[in-house]
Amino acid sequence: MASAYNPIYTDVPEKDVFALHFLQTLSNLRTQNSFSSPDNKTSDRVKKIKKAAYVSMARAAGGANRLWSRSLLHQAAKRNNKNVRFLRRKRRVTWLMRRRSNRGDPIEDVAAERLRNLVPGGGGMETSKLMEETAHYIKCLSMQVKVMQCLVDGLSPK
Amino acid sequence: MDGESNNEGEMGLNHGHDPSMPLYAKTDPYFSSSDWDPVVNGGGFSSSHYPSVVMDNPGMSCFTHFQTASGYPDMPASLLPFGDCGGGGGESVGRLMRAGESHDQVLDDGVLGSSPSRKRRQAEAESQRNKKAVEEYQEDTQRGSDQNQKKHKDGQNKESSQSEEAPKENYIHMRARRGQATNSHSLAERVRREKISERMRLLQELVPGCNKITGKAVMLDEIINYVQSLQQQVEFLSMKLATVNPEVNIDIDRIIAKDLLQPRDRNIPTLGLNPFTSFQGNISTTTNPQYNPLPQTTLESELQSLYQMGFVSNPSTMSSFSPNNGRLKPEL
Repeated sequence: MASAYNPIYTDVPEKDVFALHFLQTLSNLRTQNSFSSPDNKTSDRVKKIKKAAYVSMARAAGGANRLWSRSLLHQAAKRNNKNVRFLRRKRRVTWLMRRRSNRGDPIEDVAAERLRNLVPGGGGMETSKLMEETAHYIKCLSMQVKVMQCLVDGLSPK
Repeated sequence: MDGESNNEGEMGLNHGHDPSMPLYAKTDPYFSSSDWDPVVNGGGFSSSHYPSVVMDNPGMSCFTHFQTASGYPDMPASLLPFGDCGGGGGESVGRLMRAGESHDQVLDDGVLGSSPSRKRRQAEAESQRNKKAVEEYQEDTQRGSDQNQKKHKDGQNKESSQSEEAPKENYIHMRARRGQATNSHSLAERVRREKISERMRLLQELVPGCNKITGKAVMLDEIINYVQSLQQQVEFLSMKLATVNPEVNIDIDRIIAKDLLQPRDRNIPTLGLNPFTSFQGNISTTTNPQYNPLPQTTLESELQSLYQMGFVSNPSTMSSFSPNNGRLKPEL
């Protein structure tokens, strides 16, 4: 294989996929609430929309293929009291995993901790894997932001 | 010897039989043809012991003959063949770790345990890393205590031929730095650090405005700030959406969803009647209930047109959409 092969696989679907998922989720929200619109407090709606945004993002980014998306969907499903089961990927037990509590530089460890708190599902990952997930997460987040921006621009009057 | 035939099939390196050089000289990336001296036989590679082996296996010959290497007990730590590089290099490094304890064993494992598909997939990645490893090796040849002579000769060979042969290599091996402990731990640590720096570079490209920053700490802080800002943006936009949304008809959402399914040309957002009319045409003609993935639309133009559309009630479109309601996922 002489072609340039990027071993770190961080491809993200097009904007349309994200938009589609987001709108689907939003309309699901609507149908679920049975049109109880203006009485709702804005904060509740905000929270719901935010949750919808994240969940749709997780779905658009490829559901169970990424650790962060998996954990996001898990969290969301737990709140709805649903049992979400994901196919357990066969974990290759490499020495990297065995050395989860590794002695790295203190600098990088501190920052890695902060990153772990930010990126969903980052608790049990090695630093290198964490950074992969972060890269993918950043891409998906920016895509989601673009979609939402378009939506807001399109829907806001005047 | 079973592994060798295996590897031959997968390597596909049929360089032909050059009588001037043994085959492993051609396939070994760290051999330079100009440096080949049939008398000296290069540093450490003694063809005199294993002529048959060399001729039969063009792919892995230079490494397979290590299996029976009895004359070079000190070498293997520096020249470990790795046929198996699956697991993102983890397993190969695992083998590396064992090298510290028993050389011959590892060589056997490394050659016979190779899996073709994984090796091909990881070949490029490992070659990148190996290039780095070899470069580091070059730097380190100046300093450090002296190891045995054979290693030294190998180092010379590698330095001379690294530039021209490295990109074509198909083998995965980690080389111990000269003058550094060939400890399993330090080698593994080095692999880990390389992985992390590789990913740091990837992240550096993603985060805007981080090209000048060098250093892990600052870079990581930037990354964290960026992720936080993105999340805040999502929150802010969802707030905005929440305020904007109640005034807009719910049906628009469905219209948008359906419209995004229509294949359209990707063009600059055009305002006005053009998208509106074409959109109308699309809606009336489509009745397929399946969701087509990846429509070719520009979101902005669609939204503009749909916005106009929303204020023009269109009962025909609603009826065509109703059978699709059930397909929306019930969960959130």
